[in-house]
Amino acid sequence: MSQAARLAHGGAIDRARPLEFLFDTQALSGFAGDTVASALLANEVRLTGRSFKLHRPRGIVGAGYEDAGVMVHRLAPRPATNQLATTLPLESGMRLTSVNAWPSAAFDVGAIAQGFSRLLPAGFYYKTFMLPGWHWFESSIRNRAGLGRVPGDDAWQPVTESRYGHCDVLVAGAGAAGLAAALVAARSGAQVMLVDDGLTFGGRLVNDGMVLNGVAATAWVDAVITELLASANVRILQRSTVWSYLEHNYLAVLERSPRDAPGLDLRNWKIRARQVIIASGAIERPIAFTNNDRPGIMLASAVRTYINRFAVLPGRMAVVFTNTDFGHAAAADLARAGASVTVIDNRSAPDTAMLAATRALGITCHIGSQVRRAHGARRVSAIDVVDAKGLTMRLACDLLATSGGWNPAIHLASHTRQARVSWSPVLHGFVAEPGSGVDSFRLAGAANGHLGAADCLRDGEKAARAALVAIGRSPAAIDLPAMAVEATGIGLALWAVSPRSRHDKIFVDFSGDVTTADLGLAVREGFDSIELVKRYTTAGMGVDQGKTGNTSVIGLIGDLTNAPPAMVGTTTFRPPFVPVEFGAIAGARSGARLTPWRHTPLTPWHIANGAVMVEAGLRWQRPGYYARPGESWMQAATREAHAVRESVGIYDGTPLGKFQLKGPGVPTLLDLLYINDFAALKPGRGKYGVMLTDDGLILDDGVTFRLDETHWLLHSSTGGADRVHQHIEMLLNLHRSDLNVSVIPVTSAWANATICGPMARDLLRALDPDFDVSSESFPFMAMREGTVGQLPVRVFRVSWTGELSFEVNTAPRHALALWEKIMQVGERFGITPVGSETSHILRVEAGYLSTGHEVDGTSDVHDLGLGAMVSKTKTDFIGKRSMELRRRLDPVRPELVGLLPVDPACIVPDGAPITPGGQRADQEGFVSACVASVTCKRSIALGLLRNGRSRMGETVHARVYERIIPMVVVAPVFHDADRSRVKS
Amino acid sequence: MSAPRYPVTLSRMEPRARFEASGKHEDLLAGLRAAGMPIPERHNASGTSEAGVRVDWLGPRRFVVSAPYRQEETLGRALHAAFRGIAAADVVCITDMVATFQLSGAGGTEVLAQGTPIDTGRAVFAPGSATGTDLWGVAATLERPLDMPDDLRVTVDRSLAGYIEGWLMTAAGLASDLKPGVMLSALPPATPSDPAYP
Repeated sequence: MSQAARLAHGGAIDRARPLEFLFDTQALSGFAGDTVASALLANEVRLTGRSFKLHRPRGIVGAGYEDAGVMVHRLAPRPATNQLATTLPLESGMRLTSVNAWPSAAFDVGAIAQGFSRLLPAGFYYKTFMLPGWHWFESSIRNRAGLGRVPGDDAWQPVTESRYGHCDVLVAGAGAAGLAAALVAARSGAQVMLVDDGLTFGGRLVNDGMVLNGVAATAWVDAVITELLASANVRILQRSTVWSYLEHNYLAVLERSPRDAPGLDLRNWKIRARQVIIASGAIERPIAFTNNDRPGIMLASAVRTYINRFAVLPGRMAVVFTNTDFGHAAAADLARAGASVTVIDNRSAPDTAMLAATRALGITCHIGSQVRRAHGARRVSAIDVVDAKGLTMRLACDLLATSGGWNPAIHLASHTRQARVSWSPVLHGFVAEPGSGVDSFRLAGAANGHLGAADCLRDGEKAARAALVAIGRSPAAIDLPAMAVEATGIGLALWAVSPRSRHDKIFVDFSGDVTTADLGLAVREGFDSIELVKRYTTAGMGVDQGKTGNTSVIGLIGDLTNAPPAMVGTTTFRPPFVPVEFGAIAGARSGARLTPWRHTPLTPWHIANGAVMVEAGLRWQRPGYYARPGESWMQAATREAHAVRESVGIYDGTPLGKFQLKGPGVPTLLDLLYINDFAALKPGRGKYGVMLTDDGLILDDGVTFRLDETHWLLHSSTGGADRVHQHIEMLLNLHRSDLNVSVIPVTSAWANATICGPMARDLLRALDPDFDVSSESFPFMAMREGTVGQLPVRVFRVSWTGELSFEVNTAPRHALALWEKIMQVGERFGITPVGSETSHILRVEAGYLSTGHEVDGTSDVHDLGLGAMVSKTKTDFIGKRSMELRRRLDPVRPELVGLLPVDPACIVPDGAPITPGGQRADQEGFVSACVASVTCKRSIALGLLRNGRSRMGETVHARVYERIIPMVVVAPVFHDADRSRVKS
Repeated sequence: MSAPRYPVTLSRMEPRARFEASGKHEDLLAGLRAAGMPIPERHNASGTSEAGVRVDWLGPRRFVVSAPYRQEETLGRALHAAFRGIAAADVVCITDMVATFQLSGAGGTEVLAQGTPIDTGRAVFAPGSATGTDLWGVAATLERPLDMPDDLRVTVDRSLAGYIEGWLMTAAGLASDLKPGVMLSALPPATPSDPAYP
């Protein structure tokens, strides 16, 4: 099909670059610079989709984000659904289908819904899902809900980026006001960001074909943009929309196909701006009447845009229904483009000079008249006009443009929650201004209620000057272009023309198929507050979020409730201002970049030697087990545990949290942090400690060594390192700033190879240490510094396995050499690398506690059998009072116990609840850990049980789904109860 | 390898000798002065010496001293000696604890803007600036060296080097082979011969 509606001249399109595309089954063409909507109109495609609820035929209404009703499914390139036709640039080879229609928009099976429209009243969901048996039809309603369809495996995966930005002045909108503001700010040397959602700049200056300085406005717009692009202090974001404006001038901007980043599809900006100028323009208000949703009925401003920006004539027999001077300007554009035009002006006495100018173009004008009804099935073919005397006549037409006034786009100002929104009796719409004392943003141009382009230019300049002064800059001067006086008269608000029949459909919200009858029903049923009307009727809740219809809905509710619109008020504008892809918000934060996984210097060795790496707390990846061919993880862990119990094992203990402390206040600090006494600890010795939260529960545990007279090394658990660090820093910075202590986290400064097992000492001795490793010289809870295998080390005698253990620490640069040397020398001792699964088995057997298992954030030290550790000499430590108070108020506490499943082969899942008799009842405890013990040769468990220590020998029951698992209560230590192996 | 999206070259730097000094501010300054360190004039800035020693003032209780790797031993000896008599300030060698990446070229700011909320543009983050901040969810130190004003440097805990390198590559528009970590819950199920879960 040729582009029959394309004008021979004009438009910001590139006629040298024709683009072929497919819409439904029609092969069409357009030009570079077209949107999909303008290309469809150029090809005289008027029926572009079906409405959401009733599947009524719908066409293009607007020319930008305000018309979210025309969406298309893009099959190629880059399959994606619900793309907005009015802002989607045309591409060569595009394959598009209409949304919410099957098999096509022209013939849609779903149109049968129109026959049941009376069954789909306002409050449909509220009423329907109150009915008995609603779940029988819920699924079928769900299937019909929603727009578009999710593409399959070939769905477009856009390359996205999410980034921060900073500027002195952010200007939202590059129309007359925005360009003037940006120019002033740029020349003043401020860092400027200019954000505009159009394919090209200029807003109404270009859309309305204005003349500046005697020539087409595009010349001035191009000159300004050229200057701004050449300014190092300006960044222009084209095809970009400010979609959120939050506290402290924090704005989110979605940028599509950024010019400076080839290959990037979407870029989401998170911008801190010192000053914001909202020059987002205004949205034209339609006038509602019967069948006002027929394809071919458009906003007058959109008609002008298609003529002037895209060189497309949307209709040849045009009617303009208006109560503003802007309707006459649209009529003039239509006439000059070659259409026969009739103006239906609702006003009784429009400006005579303007009227004469309109008539001089051969345009017929009916004054004091209204369009009552549109005719035509799939596009408008005629209208009924009622004149001032009540006489009706029918006019044939293929285009009806409506102009009911302008609603300033105050959404962004409203997002700030710092704007004062009020009703303008001049505009018959809502306007906004910064609230009292707010000096961080200002509105400019049409967004500020100025409708003439000359006023907008001046207002933009003024806003920029104020913004610059607010940040201490001297505003530069600019020469505003000269232009002719523009007619900007607006008549009294006309929300909707009264229908002849109560069954006539007058749409006030196209996105949700909301009619004036729905509003009336909502009010009659008591939902007369605008917030309730919105939710009951879904007016303003569709894809366009009420951009064209909201003010009319408010006006109509005012009429129905005898309240002025100012009293009706507005609903809340919330982000996003336009639909935003979730992927753009996430940017590249997915997959491997979602979580900051941490690795030790030994990770490559582990992986090369068959380790299966798993999380080990605080995002550390450690070997879970080293799988041999054919082994399951449990078989591998069992084999490794046997090695530790019978010969020697080695594990990578690098992630253990470490903090170096220094200062005279350290003993006092440690005595505050821990429940037990540390002040008297001798250099070279260590002590196990437990620290509590302010509320007396266990925060973390670990061993602290006194390195020398002044230095201490505090170990936390792997997973607790960050919270322990925060705990200490808060104490030192907030509560006890008098303590002279320095704290330096040194976790990654040390790699740790822990050798453990009855042959650990023999192995260490074979590694040629330069210190005595005998039990007498190097006892449990002692440390040595020296060399092992000629490498510098710091060795701690600590155990978490129930075996003799040496934690050999060295600088990461030596980690691999040390580890390989230990493995080489250890071969004759049968050394086996072990993973965290094995560590778990070993520590459960030995009855050692684990953060995240027994230490679950609800237990205190008495619960876990550590009450004897609590200092009897200290007057205070963090959490002491809370712990004592809690125990006094409720002495019945869960207590740590050992558990032996009656079935020795049964492994009870961690966290399994223990209930009386295993019945459905309040739980009296839980299983914190259960393993296949190599020592006991059966399953063993630890758990917390109410009054557990007094219930030894009792059989309790875990309930796992519907299975009841009996377990016998025993002491919570299954191995090395006297700690003789650990201390050997 | 595809071309980067922004004009930037990424590289992992050879390690520098690096020491963290922390504690009470007056004690810190006393220790650094005693060691003859070039103390920066203000917070979030660097001081440099002709010998290549640089001191970054990163926080109210935190300085980082760095120098060419070969100076580690002599620098460490000087610092430890200077801080030995200081009551409430300490110095620790963290040479091995960190990894540093260099972003050469004007595109470095575009890359880092995807991970950090601070403005690293040259107008704000001038040559000689250094600061501790959040970068893609982890603690990082950013610098714009005085002697290489077009470059930016990122220093992070060595355990996170792979994660940050993957991010830098991706943010620059380059392919990255960074693999996600494995959750504990992803362990394969036990075999039938293992003790049974119910």
